[in-house]
Amino acid sequence: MISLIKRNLMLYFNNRQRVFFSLMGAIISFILYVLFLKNGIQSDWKSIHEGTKLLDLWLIGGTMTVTAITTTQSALNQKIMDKENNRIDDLMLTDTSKLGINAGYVFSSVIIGTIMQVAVYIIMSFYFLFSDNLSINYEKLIAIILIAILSSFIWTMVNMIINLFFDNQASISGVNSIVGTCSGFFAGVYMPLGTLPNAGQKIMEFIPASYNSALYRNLLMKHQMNISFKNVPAKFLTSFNKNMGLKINDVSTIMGHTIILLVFIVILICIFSLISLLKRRRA
Amino acid sequence: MQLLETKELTKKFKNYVAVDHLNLTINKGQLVALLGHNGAGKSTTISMLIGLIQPTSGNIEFEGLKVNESKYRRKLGVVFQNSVLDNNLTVKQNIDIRANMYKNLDSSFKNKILNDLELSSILNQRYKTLSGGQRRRVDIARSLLNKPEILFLDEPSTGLDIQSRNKIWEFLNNLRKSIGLTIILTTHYLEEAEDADFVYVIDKGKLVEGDTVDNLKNKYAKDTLTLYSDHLKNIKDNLNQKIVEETENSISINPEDNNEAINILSKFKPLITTFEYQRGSMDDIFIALTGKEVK
Repeated sequence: MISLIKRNLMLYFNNRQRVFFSLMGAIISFILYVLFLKNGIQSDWKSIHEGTKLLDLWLIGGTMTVTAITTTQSALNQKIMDKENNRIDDLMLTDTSKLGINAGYVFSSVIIGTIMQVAVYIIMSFYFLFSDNLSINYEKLIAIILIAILSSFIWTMVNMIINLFFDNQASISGVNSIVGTCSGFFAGVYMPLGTLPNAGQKIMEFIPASYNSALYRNLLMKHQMNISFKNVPAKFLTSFNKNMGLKINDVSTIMGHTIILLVFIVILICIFSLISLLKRRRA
Repeated sequence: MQLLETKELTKKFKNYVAVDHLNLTINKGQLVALLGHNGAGKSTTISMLIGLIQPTSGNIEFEGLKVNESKYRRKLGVVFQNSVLDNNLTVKQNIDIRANMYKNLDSSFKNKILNDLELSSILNQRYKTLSGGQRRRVDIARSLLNKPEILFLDEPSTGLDIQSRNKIWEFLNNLRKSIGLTIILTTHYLEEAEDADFVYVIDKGKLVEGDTVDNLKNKYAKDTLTLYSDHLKNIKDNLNQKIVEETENSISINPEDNNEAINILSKFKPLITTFEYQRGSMDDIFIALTGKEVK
């Protein structure tokens, strides 16, 4: 299994184009923000002390969720490519079991997702360090890595479920571009949760992307919020948290979001097992 | 000694029967060729024998092991029709990754095959930059990593030049001698099947014939003697043979055996300007068994 993980990592990182395109969702949200969205949201935040820095951290949180979605997707495409080219048949002939081979793909995807999220965090922090003088908080790096692992697991499971329905690269690349486009909305990068209509907000309460962003944002923005909202009434803070997607479904703590995401993992594993069982019965 | 046997092996895909009650026996150390048209069911048969697809009915027996057991897989090597190695990795990376997916691999055997297949100089080259012949040699090295008892070659020489083909067969024949490797081959190159110990001809999923090359030739491929002469009429009047082909200055006949051919030649020696004697080939057998039309 370790050998298969090593292979999948080599195939991903050796292919610069693949790395670049797996980050497309993140790059788009970043560029859209810097060029178009930043000024708009910023003008609403004029009254907030160091509002720009707060906004930068908010963006980093959402973009990392987008990165988790798109990079695990690209990593898992390896399995579809291997199926299509009969490489998986060759792997099956070895002493590694079918379960071991599937686990190999899952863990490669989790590793790739984690590395790419951390890389995106570092790149964006440096950009905002130079553009907005945002200080980089290295103490949070371990917590960030842990969240990156958790979110990689969730999105690996989501993408594994999606991939159950597709067996060739042509169709999966179509699915990839749809998911890539939607991920920015679901992660709440393009617009704050509070600006969505009620129906939209309701949907966001039932998908892992919004909780994933909320978890990142709670962690990243906490310190800056203490500075920015030092003398602000609690009522304002609550409505800010709700509007900006830090508080969803009355959950607003790091622990709360983590538990919800773990529950999502259990649900996703159940869905995956159920669908693969049904598919096997039908075959 | 019998190594592998299929009994009434059948595979149906919806309304289409790809393999139809196939009975094959493969003995240890033999080179067995499966011959058939495109779509005759050769690859489906191989896929069932290596456990990639489940038969609809029938059995495969291999020294008391079941096809989906890992012990069974351990005894197999497979060279797939299309390459299954990673284009963007080097030969060494490809080989090492597959090797590490086996338990307790004999690394001295690995080094020996890499050496014998003359791959040492291209180990650090990316697989996609290799020539067709080089790729095939790497594929074969990969298939032999686990020192299999039985090697499946699914059309291994398609698109290869004669030098590469000869090199590969020289290597495989040496392995048959040294470790008693059994080989099951599917091929379009009929001359490749000439070297087989046993040939199974498959048509539309059914076994049409299974015998040694010599027996098949005796049964289905007649030798042809062509006599060139300026006195054809004279020869024809005194020849008690059915003429199979005739031109202005030649006639062709199918003598029973070499002796009869020599007798005919001696009898008409003064009348013949020259002659040709052509042994029956695998092509004749194949066409006799499966017909001339394209399927």
